[in-house]
Amino acid sequence: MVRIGIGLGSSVRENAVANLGALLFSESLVSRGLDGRAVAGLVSGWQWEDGGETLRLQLKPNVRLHDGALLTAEMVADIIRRSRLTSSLGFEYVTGVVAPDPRSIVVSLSRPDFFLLPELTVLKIVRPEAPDIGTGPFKITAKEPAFQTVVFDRYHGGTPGVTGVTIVPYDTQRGAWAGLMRDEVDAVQEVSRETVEFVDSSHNVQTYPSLQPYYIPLLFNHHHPALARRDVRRALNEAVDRDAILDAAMRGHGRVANDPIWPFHWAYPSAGMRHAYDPVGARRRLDLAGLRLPGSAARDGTRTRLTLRCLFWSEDAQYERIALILQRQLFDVGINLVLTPADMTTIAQRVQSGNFDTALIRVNAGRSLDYTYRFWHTKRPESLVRGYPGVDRLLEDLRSSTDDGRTRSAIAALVQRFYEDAPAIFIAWAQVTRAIDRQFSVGEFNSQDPLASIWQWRPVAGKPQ
Amino acid sequence: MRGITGRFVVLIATAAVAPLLIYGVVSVRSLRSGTTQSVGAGNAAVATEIADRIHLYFQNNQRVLGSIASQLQGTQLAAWQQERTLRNHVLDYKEFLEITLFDRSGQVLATSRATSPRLAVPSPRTGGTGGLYIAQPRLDDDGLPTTTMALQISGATPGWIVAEISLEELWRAVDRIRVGDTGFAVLLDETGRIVAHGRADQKRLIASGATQTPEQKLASRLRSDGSRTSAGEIEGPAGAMLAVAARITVPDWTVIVEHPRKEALGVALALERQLVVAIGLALLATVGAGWLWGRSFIRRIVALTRVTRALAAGDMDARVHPRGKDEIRQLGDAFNTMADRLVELQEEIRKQERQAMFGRIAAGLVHDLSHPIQTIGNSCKLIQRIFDDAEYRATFRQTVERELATVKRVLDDLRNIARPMPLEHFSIDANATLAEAVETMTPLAETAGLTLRAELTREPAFIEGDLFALGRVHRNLILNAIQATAPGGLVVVATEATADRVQFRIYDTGCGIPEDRLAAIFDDFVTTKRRGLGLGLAISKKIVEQLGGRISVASEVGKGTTFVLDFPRAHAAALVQIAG
Repeated sequence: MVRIGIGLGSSVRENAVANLGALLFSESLVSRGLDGRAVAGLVSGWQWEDGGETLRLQLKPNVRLHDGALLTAEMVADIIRRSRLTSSLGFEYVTGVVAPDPRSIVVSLSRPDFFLLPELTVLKIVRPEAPDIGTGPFKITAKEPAFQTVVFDRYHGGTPGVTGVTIVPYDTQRGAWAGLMRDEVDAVQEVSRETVEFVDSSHNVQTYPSLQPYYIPLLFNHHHPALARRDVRRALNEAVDRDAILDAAMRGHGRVANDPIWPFHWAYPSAGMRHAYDPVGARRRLDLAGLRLPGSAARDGTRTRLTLRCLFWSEDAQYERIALILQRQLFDVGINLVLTPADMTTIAQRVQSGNFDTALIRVNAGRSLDYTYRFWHTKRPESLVRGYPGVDRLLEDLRSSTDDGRTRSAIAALVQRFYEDAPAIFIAWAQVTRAIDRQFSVGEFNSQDPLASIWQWRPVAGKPQ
Repeated sequence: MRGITGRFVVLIATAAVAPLLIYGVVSVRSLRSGTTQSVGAGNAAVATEIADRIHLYFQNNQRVLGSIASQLQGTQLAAWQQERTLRNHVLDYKEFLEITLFDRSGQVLATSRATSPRLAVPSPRTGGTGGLYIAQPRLDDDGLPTTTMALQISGATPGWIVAEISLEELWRAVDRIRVGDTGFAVLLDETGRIVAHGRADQKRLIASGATQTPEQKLASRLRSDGSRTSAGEIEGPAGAMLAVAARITVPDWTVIVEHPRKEALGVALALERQLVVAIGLALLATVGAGWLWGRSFIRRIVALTRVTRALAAGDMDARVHPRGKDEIRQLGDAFNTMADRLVELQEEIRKQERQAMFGRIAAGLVHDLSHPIQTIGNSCKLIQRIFDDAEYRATFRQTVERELATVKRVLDDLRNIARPMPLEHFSIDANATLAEAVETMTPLAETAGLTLRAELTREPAFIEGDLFALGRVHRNLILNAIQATAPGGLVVVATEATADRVQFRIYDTGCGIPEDRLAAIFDDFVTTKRRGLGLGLAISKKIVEQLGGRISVASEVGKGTTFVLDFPRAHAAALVQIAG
């Protein structure tokens, strides 16, 4: 039995537990590789037909649900048809789903859609009427107070190496880490690497750092008079030293972000563009934009050219440190950043309602650009971005691309646009470090998330479980 | 010889082994205690040094806080400027995670936090020294060690400046401390909780909040002692550790330097092993040399003993071959001289004995032969005169024949001694031979005024024997008894038979034989009589033994003598078979 501790703020912990739980008991038709390409999941292969308007999928044989039923193409077709009703991005152009034989599913589209396959990576194949019954290597036995699973002995991928998985929630990373040290859990979903170095350099615990498809931006409200201006946004980007933030606030565990596109994506241009740290240039640009420093200080003693409110995610101490550094760096160019802590829900609400100037948050980019599309396409209901329609057309070009060449061109155009007309300050990609007790072997670590393959973990011989 | 060998071993053990062992034990103990003291002193110095450095670390942070407080106090800075000052310190100095300024009532004046400050003014119960308070270390949200320092500000606007301080650098410093190859340092707070641990596999004790550790006990002892340092031995996961605890003045923490005992005393233990080996070799050499020397010494004594025994056993040629120039050599030479002299004396005695024997034989022959020869001579003189007397001639013939028979018997005895005659083995009735001998000797006994009586068994007592030889034995013994018994005495001849044996007893009431002569009574030419060759008993003994029997004598002077002849009994069935 593997016990995994999750220590996150309450507003995001529930989602994190649900996501990790979904990895245990359910599977999707296709998976996403590190480079964003789709790889086989419950289907053994697929073909695009009719110029990208038909997708034919071949289901793997002998896949069983946890209730013992054999997974059939008709079941899968039914699940896709039901999902269409939720208006998921990738299914918006789906006109029909049929199962011509027990192992084939044919999806018809009204037009080619680049995001259909990515949509299939997030579509969990579970019984619609009993969503806890999936095809994954573990079966759910309880969800409260802890998410508990046991091994599914008819799993089509083989016999899992562990007997089950329990997810133990903690209020903080520190709590989860202390739980690992006290042998309450065998792995921690996220931990500071320094902590591991300090507390367990004895090699009882192995860490697995990996860059996650989450980026940290300082979002701008494009309805703000100053922030609506491209030259001001550019000046703000030049005023920020991302490397210093990465080093001082994130201890170097991450990667500077230039745009919201997963930098390891197969179509990402090798020569990315980056705003250089240039506070002198930023000041000049702000002066040219008419945002000059006043001749005398205000009543409170401040002498700034612009004051911006900044909402920052307060449930992770790292964001406060980033906010403080941003405040200082922007103050150096005469921008007064007034920091306001808030939880993620509050931030989302205020951003969507336009009640903010800037917001320091974490955004999921995914690895296949569908998240980027959702977040930055101003016509999307789930988008937090208002007043930045510049990339909508480029995102549509990407969506309708049917071959690698067009995809590369579309992404290159997006990267160019995000550089030239920066809608935010893209600060860094977050790195997450998993910590796992060495009593378990997680197999060969190749920068993939070891929590995504728990069923392949094996107890190390001779070590007590 | 075992006695000498044993004494020799004791001598070597006492003289050489015991002192060596005592020296070894004393040396090992001295070496061990000396090394332990030396290592302990060294580790105490290290622990004290670390304690001083940690004290300095907090002192520096205290100075920085004081400096910040002075920047903020009375300088008319706006609130946002005070906050920026605090934030700049937090961003510029990684140790400071948060700094918050409080007024004397505990109200926040300024903080480096963008959110509400996590810090508060320490309560009076938290204690402190000189206006400085240092809280118990804890893990922050990132799981890294932190503590809180609060400095009381005096002056025009009294209050507090409180800082959350990262102890990362302190941890790293403790991590870097190495005593020897594997010795390390452990830092404990005032409650005994481990704050930093230099041993990699024990660091999880920090996060697990373990308090019941051997280090905690040592720290408690140090506190109760009230001294600056305290040494002890604690049991760690890797075995026994020599530990020295040193107390830090501010904060009230304890540094413990632990050094694996095996490693700390490694040199001493190696020396100890070398010493033990050297002493062992010295012991072996001593015992070996002692053994070799003792063996050469004892061997010569053993050789002397062996030669002495050989000499005693009759090997008069046995001699020792002494080596060396010591007293044993002198003893050997003296022994050989003595043996040579003994041989000479023996030769002289033999010569004297031969001469005495010859004299006795000559006297015996003169005695035994002169009477018959004289009788024959006298008879010859008389026959010349009275040759015509027919009666006398008959008497003459009888006399000559009798005396010649006597001469012949004497000569036969001599020949039998020189070369025993062969005997026949027939079953004979012992009673019959005895009765015949008694009958023959009765006239002689009567002439001597004695009573000769036969007390024989009714049943025949058969033995395997030679009739003639056995008759001669009987006559010899009866004649000796008659001659040894005074007139009026008694000589008895008796037989006694059991299932397996037949015994003859000839005893008399004569003068008896002195005890000192009994042992040689059956030797050749030994007699108790004043005259004669003394061959009768010797011949009798030879005959009896030739017939498979035994002869013995018991005598008491003045009371009489008994001779006992003992033969195996020959059974009637056997006789029949032989006869058949």
